[in-house]
Amino acid sequence: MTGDKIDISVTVNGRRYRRAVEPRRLLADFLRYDLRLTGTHVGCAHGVCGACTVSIDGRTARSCLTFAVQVDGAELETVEGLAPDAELSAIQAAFHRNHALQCGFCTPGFLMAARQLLAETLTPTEEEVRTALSGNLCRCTGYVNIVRAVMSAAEDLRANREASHV
Amino acid sequence: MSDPRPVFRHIGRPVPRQEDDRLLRGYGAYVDDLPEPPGTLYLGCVRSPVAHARILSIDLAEALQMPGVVAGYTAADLTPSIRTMEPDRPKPGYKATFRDVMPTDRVRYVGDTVAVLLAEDPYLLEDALETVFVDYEALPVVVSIEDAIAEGAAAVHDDIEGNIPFAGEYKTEGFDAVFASAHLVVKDTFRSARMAGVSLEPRGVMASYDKGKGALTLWSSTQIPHLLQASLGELLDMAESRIRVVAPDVGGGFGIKAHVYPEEVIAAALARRHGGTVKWIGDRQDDFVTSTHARDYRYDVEMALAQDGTILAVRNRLHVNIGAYACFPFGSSAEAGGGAIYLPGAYKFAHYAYATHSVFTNTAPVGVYRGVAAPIAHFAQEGLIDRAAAALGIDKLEMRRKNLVQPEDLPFTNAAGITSDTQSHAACLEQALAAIDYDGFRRDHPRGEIRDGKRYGIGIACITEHTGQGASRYRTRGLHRVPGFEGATVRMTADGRLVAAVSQSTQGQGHLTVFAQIIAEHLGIDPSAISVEEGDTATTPFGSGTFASRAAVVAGGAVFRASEALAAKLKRIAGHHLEVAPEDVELVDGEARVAGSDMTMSFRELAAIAHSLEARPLPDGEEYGLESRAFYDPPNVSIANAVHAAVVSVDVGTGRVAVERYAVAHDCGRMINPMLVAGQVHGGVAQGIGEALMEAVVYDEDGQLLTTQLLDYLLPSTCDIPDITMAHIESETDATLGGFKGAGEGGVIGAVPAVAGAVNDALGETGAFVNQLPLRPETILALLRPVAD
Amino acid sequence: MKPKAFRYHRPADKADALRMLAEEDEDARPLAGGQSLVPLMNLRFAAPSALIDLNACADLATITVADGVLEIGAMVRQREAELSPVVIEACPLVAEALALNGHPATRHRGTVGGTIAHADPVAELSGVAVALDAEIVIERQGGRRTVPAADFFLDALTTVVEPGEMVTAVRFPVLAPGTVTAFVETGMRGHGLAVAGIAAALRIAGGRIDWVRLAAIGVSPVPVRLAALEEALTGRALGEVESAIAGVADPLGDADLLDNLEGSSAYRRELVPTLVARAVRVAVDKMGVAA
Repeated sequence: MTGDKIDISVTVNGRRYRRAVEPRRLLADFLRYDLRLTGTHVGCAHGVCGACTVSIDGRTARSCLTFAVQVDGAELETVEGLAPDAELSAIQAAFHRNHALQCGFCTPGFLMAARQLLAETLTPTEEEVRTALSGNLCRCTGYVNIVRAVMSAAEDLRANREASHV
Repeated sequence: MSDPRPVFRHIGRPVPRQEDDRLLRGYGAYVDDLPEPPGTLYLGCVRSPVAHARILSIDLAEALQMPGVVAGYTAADLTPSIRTMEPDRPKPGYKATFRDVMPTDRVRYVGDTVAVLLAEDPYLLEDALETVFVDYEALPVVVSIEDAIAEGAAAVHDDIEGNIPFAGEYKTEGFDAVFASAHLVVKDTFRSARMAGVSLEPRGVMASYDKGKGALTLWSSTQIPHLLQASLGELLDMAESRIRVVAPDVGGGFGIKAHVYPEEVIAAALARRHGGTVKWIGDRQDDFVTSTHARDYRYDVEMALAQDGTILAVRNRLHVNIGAYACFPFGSSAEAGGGAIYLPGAYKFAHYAYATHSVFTNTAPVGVYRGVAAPIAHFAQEGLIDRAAAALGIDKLEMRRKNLVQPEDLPFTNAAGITSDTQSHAACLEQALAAIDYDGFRRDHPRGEIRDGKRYGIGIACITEHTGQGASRYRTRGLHRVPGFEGATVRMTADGRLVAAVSQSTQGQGHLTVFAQIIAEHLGIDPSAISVEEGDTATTPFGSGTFASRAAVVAGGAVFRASEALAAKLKRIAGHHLEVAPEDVELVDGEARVAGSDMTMSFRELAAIAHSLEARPLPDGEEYGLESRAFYDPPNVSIANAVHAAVVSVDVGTGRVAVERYAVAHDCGRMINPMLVAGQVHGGVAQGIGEALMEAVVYDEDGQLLTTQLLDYLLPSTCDIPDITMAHIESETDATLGGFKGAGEGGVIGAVPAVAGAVNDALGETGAFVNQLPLRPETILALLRPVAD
Repeated sequence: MKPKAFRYHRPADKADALRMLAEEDEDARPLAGGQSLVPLMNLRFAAPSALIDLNACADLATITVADGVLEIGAMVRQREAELSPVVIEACPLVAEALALNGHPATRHRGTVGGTIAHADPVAELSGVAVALDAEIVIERQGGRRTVPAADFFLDALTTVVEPGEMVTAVRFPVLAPGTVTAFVETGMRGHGLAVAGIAAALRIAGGRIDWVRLAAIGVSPVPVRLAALEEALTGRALGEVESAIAGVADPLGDADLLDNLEGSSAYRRELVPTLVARAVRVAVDKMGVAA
């Protein structure tokens, strides 16, 4: 009734899942309803708002613009994987400290996008932070504290890196 | 009765939010994140593709044959079990308004629901919705205010003559004579865009009916759980005791979710009919088409002045396009009524006259949205001050300084009859000017200068924000379906821990944290140890809900009062057992202490005594338990104020406006948590910049909605909002419990006139002034053209 | 907003993909990055009968430079091309244009071939292709043709690609030493969709513009080569750029102009000379030569 399903195997946040999915099933729906990883949110389903941003093989992507069949064999990370231990990650902690979230709906997408940026550089300018996050919409914060939080997280991560090199 | 408490331990601190941890980990639970009970059916709505038409026939036959489809209903099947919504009951000056959750014979806007389907899977549901065939007979369409009020215009509702369900008039005594005697009258027509609230989470609802108990549980992304519960009871003819409404995590609201929507009622009715769970999750297109729109005002305003720049009188003729239906609970008059009274704002002119009108059209219903009419009222007012200053050759700042309500004028009753005991316009103005470096800007940017292809301008807006409105205010405004009060329960459990339940619901404002701070202040315990709950009608006291900047003031007051009473009881019990007077007991660090001694009792001991779980008894006359419930209904309205300062650049080649710098000096009375106040202001400013520069819902002349995606309806992104500098002033008011004023809407109210004023400033010697939002690059380029030539 | 059902194929290489495309019906579509197609499917504006998912075709994801041509395989990710030292060396305008296209998360998936084949009127890379006389390689099972960019775009979202065919590569000329480039655009937002944009590449010799290529995106359903402006600018000293541009009465000629919520056709007409002047200035500034 739901068309021919295709078996896929995917690793999400380090855990392997095998499921059969209809080709048209969007990755966002697969994560949310099939795997019950509901931290990834759908704000527009047409690729504009960025709330559904996840990481596919180490690079951010819109899960509303990807079909679940396409991630067969891939390694995914979602917001639920950002703080596997009790401690929040540096970016999450900076969001908390700087009041960079209000309703929290867009937050997982921002966290994933910020993480991508800081994986590429720990010395971003404010301008670079703004450009890197411009594909994520937030209606609550005016972005002011999000930008501050990412700058602050970069600083913390730089300090950690320096400390670990001592 | 309130303790003024000169020194605060928890109120006023930038406490990081207790809400954050789970949201940051992806453990938030918004409606669509909740586990679905087995057998959940998905609700889909067939929306009218035409703006005004008679429904001739609806054919569900093919849809009912589609895979996964369980049932389909038209209004004829459904409405007998659902009563008609009555957003406005008849009262003097207000016409009764009605809305069927599904219209029976006639659609009135693109998006009206004509049929619904239930299916086992959301993908199959969408497949089936495409196969429903509806035959319409077109009726004449009215889209704009001008269309709708024209002679002979088609009626959107047959019983509403001239398409005007609400009109109001007001004039101060002696207005005409003063107005006629003025040295100068400046006037213009100011128009907002129609807007969409665009919470990042679209609306959604899940309704479960327990056949055995005859009870309904409804999870909704609503701002008004208690009013929704009451409304469902009324519309479905069910006892409220059999209805539980839960607002789980809600992904932004901004007023849009403070209305009762047809999908909530239909989902509940079908859950009852099917004896199971029915879920509707709106997508972004649904949201643009069917969630309430906002603004869509036409302000025709005239300002009369003396030669020295003193504002003498203002005349305001206001029309609000409210779309096809009035919304529950605010009815047809919230926008038009508010839009008229917001206008005097920060200025002390003595004479004011208005004529205000709500206008029905064949467009989506317009409801409350952050700031309601205030951003445009201030856009008009500040815009006219700019025009008058230019005409009189007076400096713009001097014009404002001259006309602001000053400390010596307080308490002040403005020309619209609104009284406030504290306002700090002059102080805010000076702080905002310092924060934006107004003098430095004027030095660096000579008038008319074009630098790197850009003109620069600075805008100042002095605004007021009507917050924390109580029952008396809503009654005065004719909004009889809005209660106005809030309630809170503060309880110490038998293990000595603190929990609270508040009548509000939260969409990200940080209620749990600020209410915990208020409780902590009275109970002497760290706020992080206090668990606060909202949004569930089964566990929280009745109240109005979250809208109109009321949580801190009204619910804060209820929490304040309940906390005070609980603290008093703990002190009585401790005093009894420590053999001192209750007033000699203080609550600090989770224990009761006798001031100036080392005698203490832990909360755990006190809780055990109160719950009769240890040897020591309660003092005579005390009730068991440690629970305090209080309601708070503030007097009328409390007026917060702010001054916003914006620096913009205007690209003379493209007309594009960019906000370069931004500062706000803000006064919401005593702040509970300055970090969260700043967050509210930041978010509001961003929405105001969006409103000023880019956001617009557009219909064509046939009533077709052209903006149904985020590619068409533009929201500001990180590259459109600059960093924002904040200065806080905390005027002491004893008008409200705790001295709190609201802070939710000032950001947007100030940003619209500040950005528009900065553009006026940049246009400088061209003599052009903006009067229509958004300030599209093309429009601005046209205003610049005489200079370019 | 859920797509309609479709048949799904995942070929391992180009030959496999072309065979599947040949075997499928007319409404089958290749799926590249999906950043443009999937939104249309979610909105049900597009409902392909089948998708041939090219994401496993490693032989479509190569970047090569040979014989003065930078050939970028259709499945090279936009982000990869944007950051590729090979691309930046051979034809930096490609990288500059891609940096303005969408956002990191969409460029990680979105491909060079995908943005060209989708033919969105505001796609930056299409403007680069038209400005630089790039060639689009189109293949079908047993056939291959190369179409100049100027002939490739027929209308908004419409190209010469026929059912059974797909774009397999885009061939940009390697720019001669000394060429400077700029992509300049304007829109309602600080970093959003453009209302109009200009791709520019030029060389200076003896203080004069020796060679210049210009195309506009966003103003018309297809990218517009600005030949009249190129002619007017060639041979001009840098100080004469503005006057040379102003001297061209109608730089857009008889191109159909877009007229929509973002701006009228008159507005777009007004933007073109302004943006061209800026693009020339930005490009020239990269040489360290004062304009």
